Amino acid sequence: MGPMFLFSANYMRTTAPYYHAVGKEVEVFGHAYQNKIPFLLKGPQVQVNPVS
Amino acid sequence: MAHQLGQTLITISCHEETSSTDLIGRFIIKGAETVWLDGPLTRAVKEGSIIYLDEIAEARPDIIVAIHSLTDHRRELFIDKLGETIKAHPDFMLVASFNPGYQRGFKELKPSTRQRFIAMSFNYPDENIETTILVSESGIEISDARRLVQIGNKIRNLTELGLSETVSTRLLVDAAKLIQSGLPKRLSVKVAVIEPLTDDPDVLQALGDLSDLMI
Repeated sequence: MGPMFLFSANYMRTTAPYYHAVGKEVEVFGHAYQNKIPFLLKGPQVQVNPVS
Repeated sequence: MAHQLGQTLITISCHEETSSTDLIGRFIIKGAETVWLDGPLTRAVKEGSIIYLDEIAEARPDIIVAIHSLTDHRRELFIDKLGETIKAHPDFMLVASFNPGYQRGFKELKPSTRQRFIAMSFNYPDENIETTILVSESGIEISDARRLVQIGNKIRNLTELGLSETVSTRLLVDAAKLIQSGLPKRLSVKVAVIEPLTDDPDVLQALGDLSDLMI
């Protein structure tokens, strides 16, 4: 059984969360939203050098 | 961005058991009858919300199949259990994230799925920005914030330790909050940054020694 989702105004955040842009992501996202193009965020590369 | 755009944001943290049923919906027993319950994706498609599929590469393949028709010109969702296709609300938008890895064991997105999105890489913020984030999120002194960021960057560069996850900004913010609330600095780094990263006693010792030297 997967998660059930409770949608309620009580759980909606009404204040702006803190966010510090690190690049052009805000501008790019704005345009992606305007054009409704799906947006993929690629997180930091996980670099693993196996211990030999 | 959702707040700035005045849109509802629905976040789904995907894991290896997350299936299309979890996202699209299911029949549930209610009293003596069976009723259909929309999942979060169906609801977002109908109401025009932004849906964020965090760690999409972890989800089961049927989710990828389910979103394909939402990520091209059709912008529609097929609900197989109802035999219905619904058109997406004009405000609906799909956002997804994953952490690319180039070692075995990390799940990747298929090229046929990736090319349906525009994409941006997010690396760790540079030292000044990450320091600002820590100060803003915790109220910590800037000198302590900078030390935490330096510890984080040092550990991120220690790829020879074989850590499968490294220091996120979130872990550094947690350490900063603990320091700000009065926990000793070294103990804060140990419990918020080092212990979450590994269970290997030698690596724990090495990272502990490193952080004790730096803060």
